[in-house]
Amino acid sequence: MKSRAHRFKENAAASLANPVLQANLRTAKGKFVDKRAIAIKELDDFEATREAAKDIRNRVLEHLDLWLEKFEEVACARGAKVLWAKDGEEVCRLVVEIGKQHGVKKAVKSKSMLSEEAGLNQALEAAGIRPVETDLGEYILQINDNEPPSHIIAPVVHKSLDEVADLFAKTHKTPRKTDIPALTREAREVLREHFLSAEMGISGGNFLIAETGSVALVTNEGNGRMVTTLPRVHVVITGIEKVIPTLEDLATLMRLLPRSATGQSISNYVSLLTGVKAAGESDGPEHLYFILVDSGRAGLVGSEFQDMLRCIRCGACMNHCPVYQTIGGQAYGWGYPGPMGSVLTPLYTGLENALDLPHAATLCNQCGVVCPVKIPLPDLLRRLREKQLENHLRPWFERMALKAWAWVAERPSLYALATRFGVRYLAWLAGGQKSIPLLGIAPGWTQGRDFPAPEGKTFRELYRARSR
Amino acid sequence: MKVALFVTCLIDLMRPRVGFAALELLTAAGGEVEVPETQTCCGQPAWNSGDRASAIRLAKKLIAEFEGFDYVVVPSGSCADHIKHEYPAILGDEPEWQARAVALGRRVYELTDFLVHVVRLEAVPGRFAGRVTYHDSCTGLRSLGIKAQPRALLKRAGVEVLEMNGAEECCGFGGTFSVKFGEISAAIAERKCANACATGAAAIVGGDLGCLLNIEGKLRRMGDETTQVLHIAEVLTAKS
Amino acid sequence: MTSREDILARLRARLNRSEANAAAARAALEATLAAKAIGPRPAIDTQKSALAGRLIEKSLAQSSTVDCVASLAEAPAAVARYLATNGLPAQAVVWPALAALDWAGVGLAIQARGAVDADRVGITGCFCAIAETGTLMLCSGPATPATVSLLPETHIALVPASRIVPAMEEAFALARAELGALPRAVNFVSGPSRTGDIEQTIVLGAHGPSRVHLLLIEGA
Repeated sequence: MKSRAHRFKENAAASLANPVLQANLRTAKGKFVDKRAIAIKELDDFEATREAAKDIRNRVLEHLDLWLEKFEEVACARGAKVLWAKDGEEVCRLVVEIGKQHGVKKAVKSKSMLSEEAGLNQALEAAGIRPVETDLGEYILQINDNEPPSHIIAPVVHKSLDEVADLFAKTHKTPRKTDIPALTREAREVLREHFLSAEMGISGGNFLIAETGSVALVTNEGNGRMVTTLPRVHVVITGIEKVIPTLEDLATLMRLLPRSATGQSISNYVSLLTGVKAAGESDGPEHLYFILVDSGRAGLVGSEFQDMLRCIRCGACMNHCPVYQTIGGQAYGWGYPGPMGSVLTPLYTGLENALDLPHAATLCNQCGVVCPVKIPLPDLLRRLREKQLENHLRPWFERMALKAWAWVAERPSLYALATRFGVRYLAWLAGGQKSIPLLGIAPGWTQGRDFPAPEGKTFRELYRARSR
Repeated sequence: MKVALFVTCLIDLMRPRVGFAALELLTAAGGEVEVPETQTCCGQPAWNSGDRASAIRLAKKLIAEFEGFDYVVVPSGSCADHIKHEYPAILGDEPEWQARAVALGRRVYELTDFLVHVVRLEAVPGRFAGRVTYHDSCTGLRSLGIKAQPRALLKRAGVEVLEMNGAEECCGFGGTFSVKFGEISAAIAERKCANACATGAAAIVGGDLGCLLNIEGKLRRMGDETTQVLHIAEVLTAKS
Repeated sequence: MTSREDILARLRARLNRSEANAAAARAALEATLAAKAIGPRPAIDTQKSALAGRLIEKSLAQSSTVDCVASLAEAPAAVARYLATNGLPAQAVVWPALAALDWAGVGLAIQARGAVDADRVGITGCFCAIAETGTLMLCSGPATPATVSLLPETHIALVPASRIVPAMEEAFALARAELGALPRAVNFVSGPSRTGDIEQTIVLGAHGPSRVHLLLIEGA
């Protein structure tokens, strides 16, 4: 997937100017936030559960090399093949090779964020294999000329019913309908044919379980089950950070993932897939491949950004983010939006390719308090800002302004003098009015609001005068 | 009890009356209040912008100025938290300074937290006529647990609080964010203002001047000239 | 160097892996696997009737329906009643594991096999059921094909009351005790298939069944 993260400001401006998107964002926000708040109350001790989940993820990351070897050993013993990919390009090459080896003409896909990262659909098409997205949201995006998703678990959260209705009528050549159940039914029928005829199923993986060599897939629609039950070949594409030790750990994480994501106590389907079709079984794939993908993850291990690898892709951080709620996910420009995306995009695609993202946050820490694995997202964003400065990636004016402010603030008498003049200048600008409508030194502020006028003298002046 | 007031740079520049209101409250609470004269900025803007070197220098400056007091009170949750919780991390490479930061951090309080939990101020000096709605600023709320304290004080001052929807949601200020992403920031502020105004309160009250300037700026741009935007210290010392 | 070696080599370098610390870390890894530590979880009343009560309550909350019968022998008649009430045909595909019940005696035409697209009703048992969340645990196998709970629009599951466990942890313990290794597919099913993708409006019957009916067998 090509990143558009370097165009964040333009993307965001377009989002703000799009009334349909704005209305859709308002509807979605309440549903996610309110449902989660209710669902976490079902846990007697949400905080202790979060702490336990954090420990589970950390335990693996601290010895990730060994846990991956363990997973590989157990999975292979059950008849799976484990492949490794350094980057998206290698993911595409491996999947195409597997497809060719098994004479695959059509591949049905359950949601995989990594395949978005890798641009797998384009690679499959180029190799003559037709990829069909089967998550309803992903399917809608695919038939809309491969539109990028705007949310990691609700990819078309930005779209209205009307837009979907138009798209279905156009693509399926059926009468236009605006009834959501009828549209869902139509997608079910179209996609059922694909499930039955595809030779290969491609899925992501929510977790890899070292104890059993299994992949855990969490879905509501049941497409994950279809993709891993009907085709002859199943390919799992996951990041190397997804390993967890035991089934008990899965139980703990499953108390958090659906609640944090959609506010459900549990998702409709949690599937644990281990090895290939057994003797005498009428269903299940004959070939199971795991592709364990690095794509920048190994570089975070042992770094100040390692905490980010705990992420279980629930989307709670974006659902609760005031910036995401205002501009939606597509503005972020890559597969991962919101706070987690603003950390991952620069780390995986290059600091210099996503300069705005680490700054596009108010550091309100709403993401930090809802994260089910306690990732200190604001802190990671702040460290990315530090990295940008270290690498001379910030504009000259900004660097100078920061330095000048700090330099003056370190010198109290100079500071007193400078602020004395500064506030008088601002008061003069206000010209006796309560606010300043256009501020030359910080035009960003007055783009959408006034700048309240200062009183005219600094506290320290007045305090000194009063003390005398 | 020797109490130092850290005024914060925003109050120093923009709203000195908030600083004096804080002084009045601390005095009413029976403290011997000092305002160290060389104080400037806690360094939060530098730290949040990734300028570690400046953040370290400003942290050391503030520690040296304030570590001689029994308590340091800050009329801003955001600045109080920066000193209390970020300084030890900022000075992580210098154990001696870090220890001083931790020691100081234990004695740093946000204003309303100090009034309710340390000095247990019952007789609030001010009287404010009119109902208010309270905006919970992010850092104070989520890092310092400032939620019940301002409401308790408002109640003691006889002020009725009308709770707005999304009181705990960010107003969109975010320090340099408000300037770098003015449009997004203002759009977030618009939601906050709409929620606040829907309560019918005469004033929007909060504990952090950054948020208040953001909210006030948005209200005025929206054409609302009547809803007051006040720091809680102003309300608690109001003479109306 | 293969990608496998490349990735592992980089991880080892980043983690300061050495022969010496690998041995200790491997021992800790095996200890973690052996310990199977259980995390914090909500308290659940584990009396038999309470478990059944919670399973029913949670299943209904997931939009499943629930019926109870006293014994396994009464199950076919209850299934026939359910099908008739809902205007469904008196024919179904059933797990081979349940073929021996007297389906014909209540006028049901059943076929014991994996399901195909045309099947409208699928009847399964379950490995166990989980009270905490109202969840069925289905294990795949020659006599318990996964397609039966997946392809038909209506899924009916026979749930022996003795097989209701408090939570996922007990379900896994039971699987280890009775099955040893996990079967190819363990499917946890909690209510009908659903989607909220269009305007976050929940619709039942996305790709899997739109109806899930639990038949609780009290004496089994």
